[in-house]
Amino acid sequence: MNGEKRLNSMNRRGAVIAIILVVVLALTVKWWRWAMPVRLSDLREKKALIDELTEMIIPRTDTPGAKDAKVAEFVMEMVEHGISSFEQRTFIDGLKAIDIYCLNHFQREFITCTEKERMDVLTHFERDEHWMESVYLWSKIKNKLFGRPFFPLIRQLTVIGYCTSEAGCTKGLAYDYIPMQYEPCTVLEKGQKAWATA
Amino acid sequence: MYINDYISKQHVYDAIVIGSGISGGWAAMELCKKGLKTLLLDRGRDVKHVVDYPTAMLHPWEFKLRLNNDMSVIRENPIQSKGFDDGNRLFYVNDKEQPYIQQRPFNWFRGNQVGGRSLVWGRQCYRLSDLDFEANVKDGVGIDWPIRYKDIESWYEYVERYIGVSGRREGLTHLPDGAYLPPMELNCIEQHLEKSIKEQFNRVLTIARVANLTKGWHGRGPCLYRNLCSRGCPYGGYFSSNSATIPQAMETGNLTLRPFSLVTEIIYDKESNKAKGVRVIDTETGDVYEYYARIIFLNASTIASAAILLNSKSDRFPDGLGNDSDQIGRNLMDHHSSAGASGIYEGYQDYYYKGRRPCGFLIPRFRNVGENHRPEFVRGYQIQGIGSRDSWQNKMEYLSGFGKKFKDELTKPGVWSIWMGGWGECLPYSDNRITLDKDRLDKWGMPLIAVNFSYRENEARMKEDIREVCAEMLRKSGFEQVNSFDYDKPGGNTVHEMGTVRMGNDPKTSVLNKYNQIHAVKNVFITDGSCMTSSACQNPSLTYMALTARACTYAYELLKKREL
Repeated sequence: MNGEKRLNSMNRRGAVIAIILVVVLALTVKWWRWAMPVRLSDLREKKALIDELTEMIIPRTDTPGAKDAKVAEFVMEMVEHGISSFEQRTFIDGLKAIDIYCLNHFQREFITCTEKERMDVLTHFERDEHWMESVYLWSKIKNKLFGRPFFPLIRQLTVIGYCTSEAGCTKGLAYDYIPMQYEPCTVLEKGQKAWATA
Repeated sequence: MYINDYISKQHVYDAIVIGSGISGGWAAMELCKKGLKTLLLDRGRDVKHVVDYPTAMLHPWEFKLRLNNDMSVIRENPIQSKGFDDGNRLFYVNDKEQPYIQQRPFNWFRGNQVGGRSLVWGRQCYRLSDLDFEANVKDGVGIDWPIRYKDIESWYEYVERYIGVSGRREGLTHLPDGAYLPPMELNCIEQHLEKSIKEQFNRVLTIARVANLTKGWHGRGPCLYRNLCSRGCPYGGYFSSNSATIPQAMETGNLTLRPFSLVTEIIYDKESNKAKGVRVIDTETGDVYEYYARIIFLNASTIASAAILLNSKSDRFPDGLGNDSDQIGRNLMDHHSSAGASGIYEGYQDYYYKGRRPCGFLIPRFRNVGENHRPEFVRGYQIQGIGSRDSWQNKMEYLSGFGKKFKDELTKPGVWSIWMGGWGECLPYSDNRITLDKDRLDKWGMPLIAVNFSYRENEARMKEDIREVCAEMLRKSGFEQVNSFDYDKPGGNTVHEMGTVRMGNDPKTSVLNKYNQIHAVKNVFITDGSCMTSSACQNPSLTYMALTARACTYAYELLKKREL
């Protein structure tokens, strides 16, 4: 019992040291990169790409999509003013990585890719980062220090942009500007949308 | 800057009230209604009801970053930005312009404008009881309260009838019922938890008692369930100084409201052994003025009131006005609200709600009440929580994928969940205190306030119990993915600062007597959170208002009898 306990604590110590080493290494690399200024001047030139990406995340269906809701405009505002410099870099680098991936695999930029190619690209990036997120402790430390990875970042910005836009609130969701009453237990109607504001 | 020593007649009033927040507004109204010419001072700008609520009616898409804070705003306001968004930032101070020193982490949220934090308060109104008023003397902690429930009971009712509190009567002696407007209602999941914990634990779950109006009341309200209170309510759906007490004081014709008036000190007159007035910096012009009155109510908020007293030095009071006991600035308390649990519930998929109720539910204190004695800690906590169905705000944290399926999932009502946490009593510790740093001055030449505060063993043990208890109630009520937490937030985060100028029977160990008068300076009354001898676990503003109304009546009686 005692021996097992000691072993456990040694394992734990080993794991803690390993995590610290990895984090320190990651920190050093990241900080070195961070020391270089983020060039946001390119951001606005990428509007077409951001437009397409947000529309793929929230497409037009029987309700408006991201383009209808002008989500790309909001995403760019947020990248410029509403997220940390780490995430700014992640975002700019992420856009580049997508185009580089497309050039390598399809010999053209994302916005000129076919529908299927685009799906492949996004699926690749989503899955890649989804896997990293599944290593819970690692992703928790990493997100705390450096912010969200690219795909979750653009997806969350898209969601916020859409769900707070006029089109998203009033058509994509249910918007109740002045409720007047509080009804604590209503029967959910078929296809009823969630409330836009809490 | 110069001292303006020309005393014109207009500088003399019957009463001066320092601070126009929730208790200062009450003092001004009560004194004006009694016919006293009253000067109400606030260091910030004026905020007029309705017309000065520019964000109140805006849609989410009308904010540039959709209510998210600009990073430059966060950098300039590292503390306040934890509390505000782009919709209510106008009612918070700017950290850079109004610095303070944190000897240990302490989040001091401030709203230096007319109306103070009554514009952004949580609006929950609970009475204290003798379980609370007798706690210190029974536990041998701190000093005894100089009052008991019977001394304040009728004042609670007086205040409730004026401000309008919606709530449900539960018949508990340790959380006395008040005069309530019809209650707001619990939703499906909250009703489920209510039934379950009644059956299994014999614990009460009730709708929060809030100063949100469920029907029209004294020309205000009702609440229209927008849940945007902290931007200021154009319908007057909740109580604030701005919507109620200040306009009412103004109507009497007896009120002079002076915004941009930073009180630097209360002036002591050794001949009469009283305070004769206040010194004020006009923050727009930098000029210094003096105002005189027969009585002074100090309601600048717990930390600021103590600071004003500490800065009011004289030969008689070299360590600050009324500080014979050396208690001014000490015993700072703030409820802890870091521990709790959350969980999801798979049922009730066919039900939803309409409207945005501006409050959650309350599970009144059950620990160390009657026979339920816990050896690990003294005092107790009340649990506050809310039930809802997940929406995009939660879903974006866990939904994976993208495209049509993602959108469908994102835009429909999600699973039911409950979040709840314990709001726990904080004991008075004499070294949890504020002091003035004479070597560091703000732009008005005032010494910076240094806050040294930490939670201790009793609070830590209570938090452990809260985690276990919350998780247990959820699990036994059929919730899944139950997650208990301790956010371990620093002091100040609950925005219930109390205790720095405490009441007591003995002038050697307290600053104020049972009518909130400074023991040694009888014409100065202090009725904000600083007067609290213990913190109890109830949201405290209702008690400040009741004590204020009581002290105003007492002060007026003394004035009439020429005893002040």
